[in-house]
Amino acid sequence: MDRREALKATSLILGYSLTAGAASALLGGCKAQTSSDWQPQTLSAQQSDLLAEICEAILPKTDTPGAKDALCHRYIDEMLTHFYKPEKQKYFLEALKIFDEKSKAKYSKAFVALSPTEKEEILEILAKEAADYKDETGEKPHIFRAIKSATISGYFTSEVGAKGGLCEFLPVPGPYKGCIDYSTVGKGYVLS
Amino acid sequence: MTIRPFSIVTEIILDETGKKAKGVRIVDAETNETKEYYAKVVFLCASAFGSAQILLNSTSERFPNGFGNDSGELGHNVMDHHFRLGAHGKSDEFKDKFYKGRRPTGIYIPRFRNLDTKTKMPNFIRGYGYQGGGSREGWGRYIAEAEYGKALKDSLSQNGDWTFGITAFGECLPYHENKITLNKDVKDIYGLPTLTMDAEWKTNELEMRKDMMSAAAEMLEAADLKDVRTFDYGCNPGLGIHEMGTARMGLDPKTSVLNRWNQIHAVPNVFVTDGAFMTSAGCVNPSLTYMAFTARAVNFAVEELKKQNL
Repeated sequence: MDRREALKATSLILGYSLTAGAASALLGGCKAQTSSDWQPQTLSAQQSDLLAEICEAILPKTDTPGAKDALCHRYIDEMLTHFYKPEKQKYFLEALKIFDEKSKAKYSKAFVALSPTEKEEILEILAKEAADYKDETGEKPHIFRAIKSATISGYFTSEVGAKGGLCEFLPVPGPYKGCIDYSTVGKGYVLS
Repeated sequence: MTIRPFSIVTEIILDETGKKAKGVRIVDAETNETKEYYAKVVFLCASAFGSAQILLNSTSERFPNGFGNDSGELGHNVMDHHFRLGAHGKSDEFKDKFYKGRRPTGIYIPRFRNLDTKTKMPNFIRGYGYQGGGSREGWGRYIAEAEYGKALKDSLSQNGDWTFGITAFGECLPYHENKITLNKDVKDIYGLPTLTMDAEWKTNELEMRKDMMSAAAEMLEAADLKDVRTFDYGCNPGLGIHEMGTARMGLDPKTSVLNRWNQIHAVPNVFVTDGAFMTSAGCVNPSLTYMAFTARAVNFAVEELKKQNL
């Protein structure tokens, strides 16, 4: 089976809107490493720190864990290392530069050095860009969308994110109730 | 009963009369040792391609083109199901309703084309069925790019709309030219010829696919779903992993390999009881049919052994 095709098909059938890279990582069992002496494999230390801040700005810690707690930047490093071809890795790392470029242009500081409000300003600019961006081939998503997709899937497939309370975690095996009132649950599920 | 694992059957051994199998020859996957095992009856159930491969590799003066291959049909008439297309849509209703856990089953829509004159289709014969199901969109759904931060977390914590989709599985006709053959130039690690597969969909399947997709959308729209979208991810023979037909059954030994009891016409103590025996593919999952035919063939073999006919 053409795995790539199959993954695309699966992600559409399941109603996922993840980018192709994030979908293949998700279905391929990508997992962030939790060891204390972790070193990034594809990202540089600096790129890893930058990503950690971007991910946290996308999914900040509130009364539930944030992207840093869920090690989303490590998940992305793992994804880039094992699920991206060299040319896609290159595209991702090149596109990542835009966060610092925008930050320096607006605040004369690197993204990691910005205040939370300033980070949101930068995300706002890039989110707007991403909304207008057309990715005809599905191979070159806007960097904001690529990171957002991977952050969300990394978050919900981590133990910290899955069990963190944002959605209700339903482990396997478990019972099935076919029809209940939404209000009795009040939130979505983490099934994967 | 003794099960002998790590045994690669290389061929079926024909006895001196040329009308009975003596047993099988194997190569031990761990030691590469060749061994022979003898029996009154041989059941070949190595999967449609595996069984045909063994038969094609079992040549003798009596059967120069493969064991029991008087008809020339061995390895031919490869069939599979074609699928990976259908439609899905959303519903605005039942937002207050939910489920808990993973639904263990889906829905099935049995074949409704070409059953009688009223359902006769102009462009293709036979038909297809649908499998499908409904669920609410979860955290993987599309969330507007504008959302990040706390607003994104709020959106992610809730479930989305109900979605419902159906995906079609269609029948493939048996074509003599859709075939598997032995490639003696490329051998596997046991020195056995590998298989070359050569099969394609033809006009009937391609015409059927158009209807499989459009009828899906028609039904979902009739069911009042919104934002109905069709999909066709393309399909090649083999993707359905329902390969069958390579040693087909038939009444006439000139056009088939097996008789009605899954016996090789010319060598009745060899039974082939996997997908190889299938004469047509239907459009349903075939495993239960294989199992039922296997049970039936085994029962027949036992009765014949009792009568000392085998």
